[in-house]
Formats: sequence, structure tokens, C-alpha cells
Amino acid sequence: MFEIPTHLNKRFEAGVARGKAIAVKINGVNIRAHEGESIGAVLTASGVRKIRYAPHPHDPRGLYCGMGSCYGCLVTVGGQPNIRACVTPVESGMEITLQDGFGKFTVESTMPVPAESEQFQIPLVIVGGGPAGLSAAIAAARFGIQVLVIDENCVAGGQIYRQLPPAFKVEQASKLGADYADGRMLLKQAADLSQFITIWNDALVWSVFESNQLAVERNNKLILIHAKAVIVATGAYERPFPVEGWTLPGVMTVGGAQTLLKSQRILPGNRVLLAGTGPLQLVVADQMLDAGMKIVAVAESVSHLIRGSYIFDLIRQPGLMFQGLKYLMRLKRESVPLLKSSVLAGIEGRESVVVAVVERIDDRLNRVPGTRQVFEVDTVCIGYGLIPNTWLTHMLGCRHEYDALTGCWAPVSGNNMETDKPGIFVAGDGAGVAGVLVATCEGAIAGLFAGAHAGGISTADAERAARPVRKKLSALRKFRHAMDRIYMIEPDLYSDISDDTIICRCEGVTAGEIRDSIRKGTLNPNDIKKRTRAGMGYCQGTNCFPTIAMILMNEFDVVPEALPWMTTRPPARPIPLSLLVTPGVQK
Amino acid sequence: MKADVIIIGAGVIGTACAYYLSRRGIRVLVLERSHLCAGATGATAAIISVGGTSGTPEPLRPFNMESHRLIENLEQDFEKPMEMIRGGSLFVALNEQEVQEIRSYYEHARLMGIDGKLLDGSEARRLEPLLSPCVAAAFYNPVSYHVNPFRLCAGYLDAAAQRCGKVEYGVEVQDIIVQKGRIDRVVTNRGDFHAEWVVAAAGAWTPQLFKSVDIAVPIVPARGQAILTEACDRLTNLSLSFSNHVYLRQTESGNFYLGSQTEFAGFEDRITFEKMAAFTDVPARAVPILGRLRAIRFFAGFRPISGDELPIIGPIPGCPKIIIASGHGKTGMRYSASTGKAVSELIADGTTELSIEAFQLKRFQKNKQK
Repeated sequence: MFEIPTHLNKRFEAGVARGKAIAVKINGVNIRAHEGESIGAVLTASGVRKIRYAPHPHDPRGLYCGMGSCYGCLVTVGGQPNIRACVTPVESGMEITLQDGFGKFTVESTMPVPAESEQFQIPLVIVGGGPAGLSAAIAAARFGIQVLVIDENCVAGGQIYRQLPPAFKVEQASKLGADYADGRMLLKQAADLSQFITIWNDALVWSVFESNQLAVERNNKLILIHAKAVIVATGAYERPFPVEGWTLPGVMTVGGAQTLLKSQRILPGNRVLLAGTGPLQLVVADQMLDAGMKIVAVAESVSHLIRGSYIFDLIRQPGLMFQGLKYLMRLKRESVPLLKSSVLAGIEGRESVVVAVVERIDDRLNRVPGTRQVFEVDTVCIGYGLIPNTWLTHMLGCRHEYDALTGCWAPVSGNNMETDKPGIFVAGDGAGVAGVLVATCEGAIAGLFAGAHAGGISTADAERAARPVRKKLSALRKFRHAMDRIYMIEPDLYSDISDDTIICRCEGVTAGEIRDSIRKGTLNPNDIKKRTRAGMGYCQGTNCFPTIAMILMNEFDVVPEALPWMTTRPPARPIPLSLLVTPGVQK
Repeated sequence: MKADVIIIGAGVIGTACAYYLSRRGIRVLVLERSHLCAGATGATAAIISVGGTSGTPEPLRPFNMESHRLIENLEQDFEKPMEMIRGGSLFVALNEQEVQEIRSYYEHARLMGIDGKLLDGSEARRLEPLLSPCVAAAFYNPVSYHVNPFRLCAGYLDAAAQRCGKVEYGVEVQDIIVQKGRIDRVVTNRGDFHAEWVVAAAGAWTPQLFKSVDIAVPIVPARGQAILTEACDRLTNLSLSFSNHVYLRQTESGNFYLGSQTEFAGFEDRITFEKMAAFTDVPARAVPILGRLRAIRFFAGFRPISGDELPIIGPIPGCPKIIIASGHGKTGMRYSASTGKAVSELIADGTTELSIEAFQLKRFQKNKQK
């Protein structure tokens, strides 16, 4: 069922010394690992791509999102089933079992240790320790405000500024790229203000109770926090782009592949096709070439990477323009075909990816018959842009609006990054995807005004400190807007999803079942959920709602304003039931 | 399509009425302001039992028996399986007071002809190995089964649609206009609808349907909160009940459903930490494996509770063609088939096989004149 090769090693070192070598067991086989590596990275490095058989349908799965969002890579660790391989670090002697169907819970398992609990108040809580969250913390802390940053990952930095695991040693920082250096600098600034900034890693805000009390899980401890102001800087995740075969091992998001390359120094595959839109796949292609991977092609859905009408907004950021051109020239130099007006049309393989199919689209995004190109690959990276993580802003009751350019919903915020709910601020990609530079500016502004809301800064001081940031932000947003217009995501891009394509990866619900339920029921995603189970799994609709919304808009003429969300319910991510059975919490 | 009957509400009661009316060849139109199972039906464990924790009031007993039998056999008429799991239910006692309680459930079930079993702790653990040593005794009711509430509801509705039923979503009824004892029109956000009969099955929202008709419908929303865990292989076919109306079942998909207690908090549908913690505590002690599972969804729904906790089934004073079918509290699933059948008989035959005398709205008007 599962093959565990013992002779493969897909690690590359480029400028980094790994953590201490340790041994883990995968399905009883001794496998080499290093401290700091994730379980997913160890599996990939050893050539284990098929990580799990999903319960329904019984099909093979691998690492997909690589950031803890899709719950596709569940493994059993020790006796505990359903642990996400992609975000869980290995430990020496760890026994990892690959799951066939559901994880096995045994009646004999020991009782969990009852969790502890605690309650407290703090002026300012920032949820998310990426570029926006850290910038916000720094801006507020400079005025002497006590800030708590709650971050889900083991190391702060977020996705783009993702740092190496603490067990890894940097030998040549220049080989790690500009984002790494920028992230390091931001973390250092935060560390210098540690008198005011507390960062919690591995901590999850999983619910919001009355009067915006945040429920946090940390080290199996339940913590209830009251803050005067909250900044939501929860970032974004990758837009799903379902085609037949996209659940096969070897298919991953472009961001997931980047995480393996950048912070784990592991090759996600050997022969790869990248399909998507926008600059991120060019960045990742560049990193793949650096690492020695073979890229068979990059499929880009738009027809022109630069359009004359936006040139003025673009050349105002010559640095960013130059970077983009550099990536394009690299592809040319290494003879990697860049297929414009082309989309991913299918993926084939039985146990893992063998073939990827790309098809051309015309100006109206219709597929052009007879243009299918077939590539033999072992890896496909999908990157059709990002979607803000809006679970928390929805839970907090903030108003959201659909943005037709980026094809997703984002919380509405004003000049000071405050939402329509007083005291709730947003910043970064979670406030609308706009990239890291915008995120740091928005973070700084949110930090200042949330600080003012919490009573630690005068509004006049906040305004004064915000002024230079606002100027920079306005120019960056213009650039971003021009890019968004070029790489616009239209519902029509989703026009050719076959009935057999799985839309809800968690519950294995196909496009055909979803269409059937819409015909029988309503245009309400909650109805579709009840009839089909789409959105009822681990990720709670995060990774299927965007596609269902596109199907409703594209095939059933629903306008985004009339499209209700799947009702947002806690928890943000699965939490142990034992957390609720907490001594000391008043019941 | 011209409808004979307009049914307001696509929850389990409204769709059951649609199903049984359509079986009689009566044309029905279901008006739903939101979507299928948007109210109480969307937050229920859907345990179909005979007898139960609170004791079945005398007038409901025939309904209970009949409905239990009807639902068990519905599947042959449905397009999709109801995901029915037969295995009975186990009422679990952890202390001496609860042991006394389950004794009364046992006696009560016997009255209704159920051959249940009282088990001591070790017998209970033999029947249900998931139980921990803290379980002192249990009452086993063999006839209980549980279903997927969405499948039951969609089954009723889709089977009605196959015959002579229709549903329209996004239609919010604002008023029912009666003239000279006859229904003049049903006023909605989508214009007026006309039919000879109206069945008001809007659950906790039923009282809001009557604006110009001068009646008081004593139904209030009772919030029930629920937890759904991650799925795992089938561990039990039993549904397990604890004191204070806490119960759990493992669904066909493998998830555990934990509910729910009852509280009166208006239409506030946010979940509260205190309640969730309160109803996790006992099941987690009695069924330790639950503590190893993770919760993936918390949610809440509103059960329609009437003044005396009996349902309201029957015509309203002043207009015999407006029939209320609501107020079933936590047991709408269980009584859905018999309610639908009785309403269909009332409309088709003018009389019902099982007496609905005790469920008339007029029982509330004896003391209180509006």
C-alpha cells in the first residue's frame, strides 16, 4: 500500500547547515531525518509522496498546501491520528504511521491529560506573526504599548518571510534570498522591543466569544483573552483550482512547494510543471532552477504579462519591475517555455502524478479546441493567486466585500485599517491580498491606530507617525492594483470543471454532486453543504467555498453581492475536545 | 403550478407535510425564506426513539409509536439513503441519582411496550466497550435508531417534488390575510401567493407569520448547541444519552455529534463557551475516547418550544384552513412523519387517524384571552 524507499535523499544544502541528524520510523522503517524538519519534509526527502489514502473516495493523497490549511497530509504520530505532516516538526525516535482511510483511534488509548486554563486582559492582541502582524506590533510597541502576537506556526515570519527552523544554521545568508533577510530584520526589530512585544508561537485563536473574547489554544492550554483592540493579520492561502487529478500526490500549491524549497531545503520533485497566474510562480520557478529542478513549462493564464495601459503605475516601482523582468529572463536563459493564455486542464496518474495537460484559452477565457499539450512530470504546482483568510474577521462580525479583481472576499476597512467593528483592525493579505510590501505598511498603520484605540497613543501622534507610511502605501497600492488588473481572476476561468472533478477535498465531493444539489435546492452554499457534505470536513469549507462560489457565479448567474457565505463557525481549526473539559473554567 | 396547499417552512415538519400531502395527490407549494434545514432541523442529532429521557406525554404516545415505524420504512420511497444507523440507545447513569432516573425511563419505556434492559456497570461496558469504569448503570432501549437529518428532510422534499410538490426558496412570508374565514392571500417578499390551505410549519418563527390574523401562538425559540468531532472508523452504533439532555451519536460519516441542553436566549445563535464545556464534561468522562478526538465544528439551532411542550397541530381559531404544525421542541425529527400524515389526513379527509385533540391551539386560549 505505502512504499517507503530507504535510499533516496532529496535534500540540498545551499547555504544552510541542517539540524542534528536523527532517526524516525515511518511505517516501521528507519528513516533519516534532521531536527527542524517537518514530517512532510522528511517524507518528501525520502521519496514518500503518497502519504495517505483518503477515506472517501479511497484515493491517494500527498502534500498539497504545505501550510496547514488543507488537512490533506494527515498521519498518525505515536498513538495520535490525524496530525498534519506539513506543519509538525519531527522528533528523534518519532513513530509515524501513514493512514489508510480514517486514522485509527483505539479504545485502550490513555485518557488525555486534562487541559489547564487561564484568562487575562491586554491592550492589544495581534493575530498572525507575518509581515503585517510584526510591523503592527513594532509600530505599537515603539509607543510603549504592551502587545501580544499570536502565531500559528512554530516560528514567526508568516509565509513569505518564513524563517528556517531554529535547529538549522545559516552558513551563507546570501543564498537564502531577500525575503529571508527582510523577515529576519523584522523579527530582530520585534525582538529588540521584547520588553513590549510578546510572541506566542504554535498558538491558535480558535473561537470568539461574547464581547470579542478570543479563545486561544497553546500547549494544550486554554486561554481566554480580552483585548481593547485586535489586529487581524491572518494572511492568505492559495486559491483552489480544481481539475481532474488535482488530488493526486505530487500536486501541490506553488506556495507549498516554495516552503519545502525555501525553509526545508528539500526538492518537492524532479520534473515540474507550474500552472497559475501572477508573479509568485515566476519567483518559485527561479528558486526551483536554483535548486536544480527541471521545469518542463510555466503555464500562465493571461495573455500579456505587461500591458501598456498600466505601465505608468508599474514603472513607479522600478525595483519590483526589474525583479519581474529578471525572473522572465532566467526562464528564457534556461529554455523553460512560458506558455501564455494557457491553463491547467487535467492531471493524470494512478498513485501519483505522471502527466499534466495544459490547454490554451482565448480572450474570453474559453478553452481553444485542439490546443492540449501533454507534459510528462512528477510534480505539478498550482498557483492561481491567493485568498484572504477571513475566518476570524467573519467570526468577529466584520463586513466583507467581494473584490472582482482578485476574485475573493475581504473585510472592508478604512484609512486607518479599522473595520466596521470598532476596535477591530486588519492588515496584510488578510485585509485583501496585496503582497508583502503593502502588508508591512498596512501593519504599521493598523498598529498605530489600534494602539490609539487601546489608549496607548494619542490619535495625533498616531497620525503623525502614519504619514510617511501612508505615502509609501499609496504608491505601492497603485502598483498592486495595476498588477491585479493584469492578473485578474474571473469566474470564467472556472468554466470547464468536469462533473467528476473533486471540489471538496476533505469530503470527496465532486462538481457533479454540487451542481445536482444546486438544481434541487438553492443558490445558498449552506444548502449545498447540507445536501452534499462539501465544507463539512477538517478545513470547514476553506478550500471548497471559493470554487463553489465560482460555480454559482459562473454557471448559475449568482452575483457576488447575493452570495451568502457558508456560516462561519468555530473552531478555526480542529481543537482537542479535551480542551473543553478544562478544570478551573467556570461551567 | 396552482397549489392546493401552501406550506411555510422547509424544515423537517414542513417537508414531512409536503411528502404526505403529495402522496394523497394534493398539490403543495413549500415556501422557504432561506434553505433546506435552516432552522432546528439543521442542529439535531436526529435520534428516533420510543420513550426517552423526559418521558413521552400520554397524548403523544401513539404518535411516537407510529412515527418511529413510518420513518424506519421511508427509505424505499427516497432517492438517497437516510444513513440510518440501528443499534438502539443507551441511557447512561454515573451516580445514584442518575441510576434512579434511568429506572424511570425503563419503566416508562415498558409502558410503551418496549422491552428494554437495565444493566449494571459491567454489563453496560460489555454492551458498549467505549464506556469507562465511572458508568454505574445504564438503560438499553433496543428500538432507537438515528439518521442523517438533512437526508431525511431532503428525502421528504424530493419525494414530494417527484409527485405533485414544489418548493420556492428565498420567499419570506410576511402575513396571511384571511377574509370571512377563508384564506385570501399569503403576502411575501416575492408578492402574493394563493392557495385554499396554508400549513404554518416555520418552527420557532411560526408566531411571526400571523400579523393581521389575531391569534397568539405560544412558541419560543430554545437554543441548542452542538459539537461535531472529526470522523473516525465506526466505534459504535448506539446513541448514548446522559443526564441534563446531553447525548451523542456517531454519524454514518464517522463524526461524533454531541448535543445539546436547552436554553432560552432568543434568536442569538452564537455558541457559548460555558455551555460547550458543560456538555462535553460528562460524555468525555463516560466515553474517554472522545477526549482524544478533535472538535471540527460548533453550532447552534433553535427548537420551537410551546407553552406546555406539546406540539401544536391543527387549525387556528377563525380560519379552519390555516393549520399550524410546529412547537415540537427537541423532538421534531421523531414526530415528523406522524405530524405530516395527520396534516395530510386533516386536509384530505377532514379527520385524522390518530387523535390530535390534545395538540389544538385552543388549549392555550382557555385561560388566556387575547
